Amino acid sequence: MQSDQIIIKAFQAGAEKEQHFTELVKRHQQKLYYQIKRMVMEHADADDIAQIVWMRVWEKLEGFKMESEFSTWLFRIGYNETINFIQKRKKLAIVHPLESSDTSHQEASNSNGPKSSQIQIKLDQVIMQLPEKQRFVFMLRYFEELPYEKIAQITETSVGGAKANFHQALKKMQEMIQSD
Amino acid sequence: MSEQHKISTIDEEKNKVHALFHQQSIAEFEKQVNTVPANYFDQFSENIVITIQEQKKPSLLIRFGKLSVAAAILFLVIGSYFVVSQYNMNDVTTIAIHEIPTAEIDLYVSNNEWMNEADMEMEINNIGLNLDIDNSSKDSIH
Repeated sequence: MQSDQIIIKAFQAGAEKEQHFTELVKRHQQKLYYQIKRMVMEHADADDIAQIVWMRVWEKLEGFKMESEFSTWLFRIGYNETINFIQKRKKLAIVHPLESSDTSHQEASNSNGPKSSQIQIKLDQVIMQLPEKQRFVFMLRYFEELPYEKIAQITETSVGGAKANFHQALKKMQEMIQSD
Repeated sequence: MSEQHKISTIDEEKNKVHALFHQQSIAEFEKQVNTVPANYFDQFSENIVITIQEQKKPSLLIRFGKLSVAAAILFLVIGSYFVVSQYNMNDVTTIAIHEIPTAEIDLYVSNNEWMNEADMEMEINNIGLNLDIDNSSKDSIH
């Protein structure tokens, strides 16, 4: 299997651009999509953001200098577009579906017991209440198990800053759980 | 050693998360994230490429935009020509002959008498009349 660099060089050479681009999409679409979806939770929103991200990649791939890994660059675009999307939504003051579904989860019976479902709600609620950057860093670290060096490149911060974001996210989640 | 340290750091951090949330709830969260429509990823790359191809084609508006700009310029040029021509024609004032002072007419005729003579000569030639005086034909008194 060709490396991302070879595919990108072939793309930049100009021949069969769409074919090479499709190959890159197929390789990285799932990870990108899941990372975005962890941030927004809704498939429609995640799909919209993912499409925007890949359109940006198409526009900018010609000038990509491969100073970092393609996945890092891709996730960085994903991070920026996700943050933009969330901030626009905040401005429009659209209520997130999870916030309104809180009561329904608590009232519904659960064969695993109410405790498990309450914790489930807590996890969603808690994660969605984190500031976007801390949320993104937490997701990358916990679910993708990315090293802080890569997280720092993606979020355009320092390694120390990325670590601080994760630990602050953890601290906030603890405070939110304990306050209830 | 540093790789082991990195791994243990991730494990340590995950353990802190597990202390806050049950593994089951985390699994359910991930399940919710991973739930996507059937064949979504199979079609996604194709859809993106289709979108890119559609963006490459100039829109109907842009395609006809250039033509409409050219047509607009041509219209402006022709239109302004007609407007200017109309303006110049309107600039010419007409006047009836009886409104012209007699003195002015006299002056014009006297200044242009040769034109009158030229017209007369042309008329004479046209009807073949020879008014040249021939001295030899005259009766002599001798």
